[in-house]
Amino acid sequence: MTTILPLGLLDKAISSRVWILMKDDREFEGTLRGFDDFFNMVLENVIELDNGKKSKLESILLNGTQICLIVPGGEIR
Amino acid sequence: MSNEKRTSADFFKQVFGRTVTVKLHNRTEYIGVLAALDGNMNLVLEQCEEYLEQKLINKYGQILLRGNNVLYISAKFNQKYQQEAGI
Repeated sequence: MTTILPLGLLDKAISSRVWILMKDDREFEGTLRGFDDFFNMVLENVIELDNGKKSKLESILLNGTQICLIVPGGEIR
Repeated sequence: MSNEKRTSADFFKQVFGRTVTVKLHNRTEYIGVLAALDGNMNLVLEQCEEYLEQKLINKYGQILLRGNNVLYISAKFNQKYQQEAGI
């Protein structure tokens, strides 16, 4: 059985949509373009959900320190 | 849009000198021209406006923002995308 490392899973998700949950109930959904060892992420065509308010962002570098959960192929509901 | 992996280093290179929106963990936003950026997300912004809840509260000629406060750095590359985004 092959071992899959967390960052390996993230690597597989590159170029697809990901759904990211932050520690403080904020959510981001975007196309994953890249990431680093600290889980800082480059996302494109992003939807940000904060306190029920949605906004769109073209391209962001998201700070990894507050990221809680990443769902490859997921979306904000 | 290219499919090659873009890490934070590539994002940095693309974003220098552009107008960026920086959102902090406390929901304050800063819109300004990116003059400097390092690996800790410490930033220098010029001609910067400070917004809290979409309301302009301050303007600064130059600020140093400590990277630990940063939630995200958002850049606009395509003017047309902005107009179509609506919301």
